[in-house]
Amino acid sequence: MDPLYSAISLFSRRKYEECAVICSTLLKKNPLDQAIWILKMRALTLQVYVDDIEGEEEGIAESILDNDTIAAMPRPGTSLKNPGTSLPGQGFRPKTESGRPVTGVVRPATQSARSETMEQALRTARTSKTARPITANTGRSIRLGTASMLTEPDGPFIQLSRLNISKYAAQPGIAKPLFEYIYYHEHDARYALDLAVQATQACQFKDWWWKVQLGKCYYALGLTRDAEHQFRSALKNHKTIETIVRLIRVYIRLDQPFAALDICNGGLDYFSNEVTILTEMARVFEGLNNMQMSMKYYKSVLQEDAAHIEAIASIGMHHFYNDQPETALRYYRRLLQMGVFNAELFTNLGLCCFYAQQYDHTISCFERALNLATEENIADVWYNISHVAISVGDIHMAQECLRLAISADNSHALSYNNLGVLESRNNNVTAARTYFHASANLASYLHEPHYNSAKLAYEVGDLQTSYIVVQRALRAYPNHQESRELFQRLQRHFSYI
Amino acid sequence: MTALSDDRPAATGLGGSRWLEAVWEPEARLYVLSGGLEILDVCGEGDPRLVCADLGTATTNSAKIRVYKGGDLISQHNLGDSPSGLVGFYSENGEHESGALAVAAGSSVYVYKNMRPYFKYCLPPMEAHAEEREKSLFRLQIWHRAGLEDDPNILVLTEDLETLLKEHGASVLSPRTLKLLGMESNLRPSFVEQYRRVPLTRPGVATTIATIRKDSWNNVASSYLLIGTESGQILVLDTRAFTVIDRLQLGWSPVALVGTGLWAKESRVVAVGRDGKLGAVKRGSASKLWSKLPAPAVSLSILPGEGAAVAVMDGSLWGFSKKGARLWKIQLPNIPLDLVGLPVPQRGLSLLAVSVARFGVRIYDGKHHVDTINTMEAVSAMKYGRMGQEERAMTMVTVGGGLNVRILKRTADFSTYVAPEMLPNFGSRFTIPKKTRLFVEQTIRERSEAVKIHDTFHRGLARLRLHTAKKAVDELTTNQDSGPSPVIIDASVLGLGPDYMIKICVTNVSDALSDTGLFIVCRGENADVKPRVLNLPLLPSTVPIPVIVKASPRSMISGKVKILCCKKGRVKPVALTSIILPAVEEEIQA
Repeated sequence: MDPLYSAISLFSRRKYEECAVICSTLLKKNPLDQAIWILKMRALTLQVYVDDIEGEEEGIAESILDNDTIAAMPRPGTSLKNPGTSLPGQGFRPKTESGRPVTGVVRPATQSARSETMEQALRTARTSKTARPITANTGRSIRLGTASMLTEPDGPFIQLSRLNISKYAAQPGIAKPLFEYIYYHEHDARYALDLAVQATQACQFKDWWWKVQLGKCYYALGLTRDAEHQFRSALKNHKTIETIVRLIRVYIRLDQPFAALDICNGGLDYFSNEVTILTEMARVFEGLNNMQMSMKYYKSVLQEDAAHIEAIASIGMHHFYNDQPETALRYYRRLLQMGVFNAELFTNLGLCCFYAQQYDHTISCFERALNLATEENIADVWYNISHVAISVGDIHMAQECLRLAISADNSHALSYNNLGVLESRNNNVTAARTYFHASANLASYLHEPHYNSAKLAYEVGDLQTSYIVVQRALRAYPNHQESRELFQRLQRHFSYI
Repeated sequence: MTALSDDRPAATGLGGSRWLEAVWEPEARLYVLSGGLEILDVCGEGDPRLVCADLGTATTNSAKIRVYKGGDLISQHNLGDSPSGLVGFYSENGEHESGALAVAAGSSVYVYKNMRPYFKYCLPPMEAHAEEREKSLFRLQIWHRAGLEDDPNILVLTEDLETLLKEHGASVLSPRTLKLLGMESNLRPSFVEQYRRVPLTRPGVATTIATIRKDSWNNVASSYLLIGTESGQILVLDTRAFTVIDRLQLGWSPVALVGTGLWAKESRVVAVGRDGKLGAVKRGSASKLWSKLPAPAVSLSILPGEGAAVAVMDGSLWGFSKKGARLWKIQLPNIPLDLVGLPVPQRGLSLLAVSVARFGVRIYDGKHHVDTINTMEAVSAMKYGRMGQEERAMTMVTVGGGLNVRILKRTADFSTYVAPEMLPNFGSRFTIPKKTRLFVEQTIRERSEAVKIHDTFHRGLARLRLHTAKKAVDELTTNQDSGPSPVIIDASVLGLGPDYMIKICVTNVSDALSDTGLFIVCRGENADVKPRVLNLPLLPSTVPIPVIVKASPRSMISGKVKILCCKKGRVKPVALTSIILPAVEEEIQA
């Protein structure tokens, strides 16, 4: 059989590694065969082809060294960075480290902290085993690239530095696979950009595909405004969902959620009821703390795609925090039927059963969650079990659970806080205070430890400390009623003096 | 901020004007009445311009259409007849290029595209008044039979027609009769001779013109023309083929029309008559009279929620709901001259602007007066909309013929009054989600199987309690002293790698000073920790003591670091915690 034919056949059967091996041997015989060269390029690219839209994470370089910041004090409700200023929700959702409400599913960029201080930025994410949230986007890409290169014994397939980019840019048949190879396999956005610039010139700026690729390169290099320009220009030539979604991402990176929503609406005119765009809209609204709208879009996502895990989980979550655990239970059960099988889901099921008064299923759910839990999430499971223990009235068990949560994850601030509350019930004021301090040090975005600490100080009579700490609580959550009352009482005290 | 008192023309107390003066052209010599202004992208260039139906002065008795760009006159077009209204419309959804202008004048509607005559639509003729027809026919027939030189017949005819004119007024007679009566008597015979064989008709007269959206709420949406006629009909004209697609029977002749809703779905045309009748008519149903106003109406505008506002000549402004119920009535300080809607979507407001003689233009939010635009002269016609590049421009034509354009500032805030109905039930607005049907069903199950559920739960709980206790013993006491520890440690990892900093906070939880001889040992599984052992000072109560150590992993794989707090002379540590060092990132090559 002709080896080229078998290589193509392997390629079409997605056996990329074998295809690449055959191509390598063929290239040794005739290094100038372009067909084989392109085939090998495609095979190598498709091995590492990823959906890079979903996989992005804002790194420390973007969050700290960000020069795209439009306004330090955005108008209320117009920024993703300060969502507490927008409409308050119905129930009280816990916040993630960024101060955003907890999302239904863990996505990239929902867990990472949009840190205000350097120390907070440098602190590793709570349950993460890697330093991922603190690296830059480019850094991560390089790591992925090097990993793939290690598998090649004879060095890299294409020496990018020796590549005559202008020659290949003029040949559209080669330029496109070559670009994807450089972008996805070599992860070198600069070379890719160089190629894309020359290729788009070669086709007189008429090919929308090159504009999208240019935008991708600019985005990867952090030149968001240039990326926006390219995507918009590409959309003028040709409307694709990918371009729209990428443009939405640009606006989210620029912290312009309303511009992103405009793009979504425009996109929906062309691709009506498109699930990806609807999901993006729901996420933006969720980020803005506008849960009603977010739910509306998640529900329309579900109408289009009844097996959309993110939408089901988000709606379930919304119902849970809206005092309808029985409805939430239904959504989570649906997820279970769909084959999602992990500790988080069982924990949620257990909590829903417990608060919906379906006590007979509660414990078995938690037991399964404990069995399935990994080191990363076992702390959260223990923390949630402690709630059951507290509700049942078994303080001893609750303390044990919280201690287990802390031993599993030493920076579990919520556990420290609750442990403090339990200690203060036992009249161990000193221990309680220490736990509150520990919790507040770990997570200054939580208002509970600040308030608890202030209340404790107030009861002991340390009004000055109480006054300082309650202000921190109000900074974390400006509308917290108890903190406000305490603050007013303290103000009255000090004005008497 | 204080609201204005009602009869003070100045806008004091509102923190400066909300309007910027853009154009003031006192010598524009424009004479426009209500409904004679339109802002339209006449050339499809995305640059809307002002189009006026200029009635002309008494001396230069010729009506014109004038097109302005900013304050400059670009073009003017003569009209044969006095215009009764003009509107801009689009014939295609979403196509700026399909914009056109319709001018109702006399018995025709002239349509201009790119400001060139495009189509002339003649209104269908009406039947002549029965008596007039009869009489003239009768007389003319007699006269015809009697012979050509029978002069007295013409005399009788004119006499009869004159009595008819006195009885019914000029509006019901045909133009031919009116012309005959206005002629000198020696010219009449030839006139009668010329026209007596032609059947007598009365041309339809367009009294007003408006548009209604066809099927889309977009900004550029195709619409139908609504033409109010003297015969009490509203003709609905398709803007592509210029055919009448529907006739709405009103029964009285309208002078102003407003179309609300979408014609394809639910629509309603609100009309106000010359005699003060106000009513609405829906597609396919008879007209409904809303109210009989005490004085003739000046202008009509829609309110949010498909209602309508009417400015009436006796100096009052009325608001009606979409069902025709009167919502409010306010007394204006003087007689109104024009009324337009002033939507401010950025603020979610829909205001009304009323031009009041001697008081400038007053802006109302519903029945609340929120602002006043001071003008040099009284304003006879206004239009609000995008003009040129400015989205929020108010174009005003004064009684003296001046053209004035003002721009609403972006920062303009009209919330000078607090809606009083919001305050009392502010607290009760908190919506509590209802318990679902599912919940009720579950409660039934709960009630019927209470014992079983209770037993299962407690069995499970006991099992879980045991599991927790076992785990706790395993984790918490195997490697450290049993009993509640007097010292707690918490640690966090800082840094990007490959060198990390571990921040350890040691706190004494007991009330007294801590024991002596405490020290910290850091055991890295796959990392070098420096220093490995740290002696702790005496720990005061509740003050966290920070200790910093450096850790660098030996390989790419992340490793655990155990931090033990020990006491000299004891085998087991006092407290123990462990942290995970993150995987090291590849160094980024410059």
